Amino acid sequence: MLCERKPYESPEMLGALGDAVRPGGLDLTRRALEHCAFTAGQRVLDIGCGSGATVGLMMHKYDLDASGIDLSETAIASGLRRSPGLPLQVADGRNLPFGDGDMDGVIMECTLTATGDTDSTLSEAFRVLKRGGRLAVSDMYLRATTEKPPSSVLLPCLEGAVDREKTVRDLEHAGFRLRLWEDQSDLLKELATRIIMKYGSLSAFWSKACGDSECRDTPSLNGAYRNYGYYLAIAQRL
Amino acid sequence: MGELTCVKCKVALVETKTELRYLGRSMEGKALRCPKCGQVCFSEELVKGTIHEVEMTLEDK
Repeated sequence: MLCERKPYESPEMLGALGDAVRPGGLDLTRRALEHCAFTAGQRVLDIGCGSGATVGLMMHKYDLDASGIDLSETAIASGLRRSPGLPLQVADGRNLPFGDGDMDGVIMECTLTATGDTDSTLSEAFRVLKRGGRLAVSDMYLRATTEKPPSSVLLPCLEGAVDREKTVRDLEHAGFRLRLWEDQSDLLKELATRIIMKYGSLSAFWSKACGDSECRDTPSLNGAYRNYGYYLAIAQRL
Repeated sequence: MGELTCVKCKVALVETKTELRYLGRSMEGKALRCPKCGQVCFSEELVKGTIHEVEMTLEDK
């Protein structure tokens, strides 16, 4: 499940993406939260919260009772150093430290595909959500017209990406009803161009993020934005 | 590459952050600019490397 090289903790990845380590950054998070229309005080859990940028946003801008979990001790420690007292903890999305029906909302940003176990992660999200609770997911998906390209240990989310139909089936199988699907694939291009301008080329970026100038994953990663799309989905727990 | 000078203003170009726009997107990069008239000079290396890669990305090539 965990990439040994932990790309999301690399200074290069953080330099290109900022604290919100995913396409779209906090702008897409705001869009997701607005679609969910949570009211002040509701409990919302961020699964795969990293250093807590979304948790901070939910608490301070939306007055939500937010918390976050992530498998990365480094990311959680970094978030707590910056904002002591932020309700972040190291935990596994497949075994959440919360009771049944504790949450009004769950958000997963570029997390579901990276877990390596979509069924268990969605099943846990279902368990901790109240009936009618909302789930916001933004993630990579495989374009239906392409064959699955070679995966990379650098980006575990590519390994777990499936096409739109399978994503929707997985959500429904776990007990959710899809309320909204938005294609946000342009955000991948936007991110790719930002990285190229900052590092000179995608290859240079991946070699740095990987820590290996002869990174063998570079070719598949360079083409990633062509084979994959990015989506925002809002689903409701039945 | 030696110091480049603006043909019009006869002053040395300086490296500055420059906003580039292409296909409705804007991005930021470093380029040599004349501090007096604002004329920008892109090196061949930048055009054939970074800018070409951005172009290919935005055009889905």
